[in-house]
Amino acid sequence: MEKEIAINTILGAHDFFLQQSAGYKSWGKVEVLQIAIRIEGNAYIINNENSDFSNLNKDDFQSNLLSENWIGSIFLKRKNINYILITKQEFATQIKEEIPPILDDQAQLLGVTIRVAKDNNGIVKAIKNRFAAVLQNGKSICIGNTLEDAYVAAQLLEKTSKAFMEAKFLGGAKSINKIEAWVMQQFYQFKYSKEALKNK
Amino acid sequence: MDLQELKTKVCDAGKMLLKEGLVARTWGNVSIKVNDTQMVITPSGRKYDELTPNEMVLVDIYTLKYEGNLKPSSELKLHCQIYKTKPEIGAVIHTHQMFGSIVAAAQVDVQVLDENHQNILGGKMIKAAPYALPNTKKITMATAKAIENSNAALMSNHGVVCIGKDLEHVFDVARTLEKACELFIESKKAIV
Repeated sequence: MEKEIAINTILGAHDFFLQQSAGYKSWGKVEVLQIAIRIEGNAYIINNENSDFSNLNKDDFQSNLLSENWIGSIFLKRKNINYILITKQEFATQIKEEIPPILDDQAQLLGVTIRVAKDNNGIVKAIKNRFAAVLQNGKSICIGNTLEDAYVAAQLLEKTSKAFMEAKFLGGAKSINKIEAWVMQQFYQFKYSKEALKNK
Repeated sequence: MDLQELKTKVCDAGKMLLKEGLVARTWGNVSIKVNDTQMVITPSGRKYDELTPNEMVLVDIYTLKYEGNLKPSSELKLHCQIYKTKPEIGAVIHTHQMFGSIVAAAQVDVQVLDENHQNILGGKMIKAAPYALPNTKKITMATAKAIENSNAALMSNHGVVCIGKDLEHVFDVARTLEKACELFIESKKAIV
């Protein structure tokens, strides 16, 4: 993607998320803080860490090479990932331990488990074969091929986190067999989602 | 009501599921019974806000054969099984609604605490069907058994299924189940 297009995508993202979030109103609050988008020239563009996401302007961005930090490392290792969201979420923020597969949609879209990364160096490992990870600083990382995919991952992370936390009052969430969870993820990614695209 | 009107109703119901936050993206599904042998159901893997009435799929409840090029929802076996075993039922919805999903993740039955909720849900207890992989015979039969004596059932680690005499009724059941699950969770918090 060209740099200008990526910047315009981020500038329009606040309205896009507002529109999208209407369908997830019971799942908890998801606030997107930063968006990183893969661009031409082995680089990515991202809005500055403390910029006001609801009121961004063209000075609020920086571009980095993929070789520079953990965000670049994710883009380097995951060729099909074009969008990385850094979020703050009501329930995901409270997660301090790895979440096992407790819901089918979690296993299908996010991966077998949701890991917690201790620091920035651990994020790439935590999100390996997965589409979301929680950071110990209260933020989360959600990734996708498209902006919508990454946003759905953020919402599903919030739903799963809420289910995990609230189920503690009912004796705790019960895990699905991890092999079955892995099979579901493979089926979803390589068969169901492709078949769904054809079902028109 | 003719087939086209029924397809429009199912299509509108899919959009309503999305609007009310009972489903997201392509998850969940809704159907209504056309006659003793046929139902209309939402198609597989499609976003509700992009659907049109002509994309709803007519399915034979007994043979699972469907008309047209669009594949019906992958949960069609569950819908068909319910229509076969409960002939008085006119509409079925399957959702991944939030509070139902929390209780389903814990794999426990829901104690329905409010008397009004009991009347709408058809019982004092909503059962959780044991976990099985989605779209399998095992989950279909387990869920059909769990819903034998009420208007709703949980599908462990997955979501919920609700039944009613028509679409208006089944939406009432789904909304009420969500409130009943929330109340049930809150009652457990009060004990802790």
